[in-house]
Amino acid sequence: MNRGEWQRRAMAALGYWLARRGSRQGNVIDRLACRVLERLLRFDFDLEDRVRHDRGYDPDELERYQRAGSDGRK
Amino acid sequence: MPGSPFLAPAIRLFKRLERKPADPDTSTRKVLCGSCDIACSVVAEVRRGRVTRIRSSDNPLFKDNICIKGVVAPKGFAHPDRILYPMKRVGERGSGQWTRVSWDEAMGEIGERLKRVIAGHGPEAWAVSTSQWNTGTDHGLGRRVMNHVGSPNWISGVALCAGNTAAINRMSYGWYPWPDYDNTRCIVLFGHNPKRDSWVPIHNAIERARARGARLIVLDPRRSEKAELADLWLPLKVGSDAAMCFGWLKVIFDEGLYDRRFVADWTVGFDALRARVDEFPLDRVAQLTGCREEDIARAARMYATQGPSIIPWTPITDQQRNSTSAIRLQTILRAVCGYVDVPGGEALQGFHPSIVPESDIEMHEVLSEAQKAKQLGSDRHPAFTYRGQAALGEPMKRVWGRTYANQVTGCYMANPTATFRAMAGDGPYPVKAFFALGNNTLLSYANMPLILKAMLNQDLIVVQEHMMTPTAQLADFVLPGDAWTERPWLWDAYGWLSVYRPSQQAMEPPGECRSTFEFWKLTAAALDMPEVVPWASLNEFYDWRLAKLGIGFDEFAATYELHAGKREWKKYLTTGFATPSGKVELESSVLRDLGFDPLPYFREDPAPDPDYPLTMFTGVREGEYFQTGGRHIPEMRERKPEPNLFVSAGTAAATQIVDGEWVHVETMLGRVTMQVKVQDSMPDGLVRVPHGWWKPETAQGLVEGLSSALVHADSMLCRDDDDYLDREQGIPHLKGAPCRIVKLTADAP
Repeated sequence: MNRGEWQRRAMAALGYWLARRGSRQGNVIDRLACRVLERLLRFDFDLEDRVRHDRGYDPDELERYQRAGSDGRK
Repeated sequence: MPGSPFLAPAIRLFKRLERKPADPDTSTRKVLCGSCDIACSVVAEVRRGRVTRIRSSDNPLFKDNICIKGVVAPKGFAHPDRILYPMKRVGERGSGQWTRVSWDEAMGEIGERLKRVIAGHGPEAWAVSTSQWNTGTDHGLGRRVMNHVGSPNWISGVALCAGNTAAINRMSYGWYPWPDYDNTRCIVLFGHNPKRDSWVPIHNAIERARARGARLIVLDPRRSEKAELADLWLPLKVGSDAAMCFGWLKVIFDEGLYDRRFVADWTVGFDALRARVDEFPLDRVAQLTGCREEDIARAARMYATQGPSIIPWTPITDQQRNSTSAIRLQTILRAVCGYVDVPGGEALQGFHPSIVPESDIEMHEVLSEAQKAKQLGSDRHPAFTYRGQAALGEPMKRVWGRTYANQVTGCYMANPTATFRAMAGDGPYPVKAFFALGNNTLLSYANMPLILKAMLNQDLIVVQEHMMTPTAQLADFVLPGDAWTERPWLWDAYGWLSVYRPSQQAMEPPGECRSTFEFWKLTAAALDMPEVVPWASLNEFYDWRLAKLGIGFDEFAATYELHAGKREWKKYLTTGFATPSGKVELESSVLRDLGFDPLPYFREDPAPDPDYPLTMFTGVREGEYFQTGGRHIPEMRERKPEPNLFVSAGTAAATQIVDGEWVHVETMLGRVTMQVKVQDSMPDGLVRVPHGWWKPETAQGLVEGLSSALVHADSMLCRDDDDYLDREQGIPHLKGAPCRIVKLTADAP
């Protein structure tokens, strides 16, 4: 195994370990792994504004919509 | 693992998602979005018993894996026309006349009628088409019930989308790999275009990889969003993926850029392959693909020398006349360059060590060999049927521990076209009962006229759905299905990954909507075999699957965002590959023994037809919709109100059409009506046709046109005669069929 492959393996193994621990709500190590991931994975993805700023629906609005249909397409 | 981090990412400005302040009336649940087939980990906010908001996950592994389809899902599930109760047809088939019945009444009659079909024609007279990404909780239970009954005739859209890719990949190296985006140095996209409203986790993974310096090669006739970002864009001729791969291999072999040690130690058939590749000098590849020789060579060198590289799955290569050869060539590129089962390459994950996979639930071993041999299409197009995969049984057992390893549910399927022909009365035996679960069959495969004829020739059609789709309009029974916010769920990409992610139930299903798990449990009982689905509830079923972990589903879902086994690389060093030879089969013994060319090849287009001077590619998903779904959601229809075909300005001028005009697109098979969009990104002569259009707001019923499906759905155009089928799989050529555009004399429909 050459040096480059060894490095890739080591990094992949560490990343995999962090992902497994960081995706679990268990002990303090899990929470620490999650914090490390938070730092490592910071990224400004180009979410749509409609998605980024979505506030969801009002339950009454959904209720009314379900009962009567309010979109004018019916 | 999806989401496992590369450890030196570019640190950029971090924009946190805006969140509502803590609201005592709002609770949250971890859910997997089922708005498409990628299953993003997201959060459902629940108020007064309703899911009111879908937002990005709080876990950094999944942050920002969300798109507009997930955001509007609560509205979609609250649609006033959603099917909430079992419905039984009372008029002629397709008349749109229904009466409400109870689940007990429906399942009782379904059981009796299905038993009559089986008694009269044999168990193979029952066919099922399922979309697992929609039903969610099918989990192989449909196959399990069918296997016990004795029917091999299960079909799915995965026949031309990922499932077939899995089956073909296994012929080369015995498993279908997942690309390691997090550690790769070069990403190759064959026409696939993940973006911020489609396959967002893959889009995000690519963006993160690019930010740390990974190269991106895009092969796409259209200057797509991803092509704009690529280090190298090759505008190849539509449908020429296999020829392009031959060109890359020619460069890689001639220049000695392959992994000689891996090839010597772990492959068979190299000399024969090399001789075949020599039939494709770059000038020939340039002529076949329409790309410049120097660009083809540059891309090949980048792939081979900048690695480890990945060629992620693409639905584009899945749907071509040379699909089997093209998929095989991609496996060969991975192998000869040494990118199989290495970090940054393509990981062969195998099964999770502790969770019962769907392959076990399906119980293929109980279906007799005699019934397996009746699987429709396995005679002429066996690649993904039982017959086509049989030679891999022993190697699968040796390497992965199971004789039947069903990846992406695509490895033991009947052929869809052969199934529809049998349903229409033109097969080796009759098929007279058809179930469509979360699957808008009429619009989801090629040759809608054949599918329509097939459905009109059935004694029993059962559909489980959310909306009265064109397919449901032809059913005898339409049963209400639950949605992904309304049930628990356990997901492993349908056997593709060894990573499991849980989804918590966030609200109660409305009306009498039930899960597909419940549907199959009731079906087993109606067929007098309740012991086949013995679990009392979905939760109990999941508890059983997770028993080896020592925890139940509720605790599992509360504790884990994902659960994965130990990651090992180059497992083949100890186990060999799961192929008959134990090595990567560049020359496939499986294909040879099935009577096909064991080497990849390239079958050129039929002679041009002057009556159809343009070329179309169909099966195109739009960001607002997933497959044939979503047209009922007002927010989505406002963004994408009509079916738009794309043409270049040159093509528009040559055909005397203008942007916004309504036209007919015609092939030798049929005609649809679409609105023209002139796009700079399109090459001349090519027509891009969107997939799966119907209009839920328009009149239902066969006479009325099945909610405009007969007017707009691309499956009306897609041929499935021999010239337009891949030989080994029998899947249709959707990328590069001849067509013409005809001006409408009247206004828009």
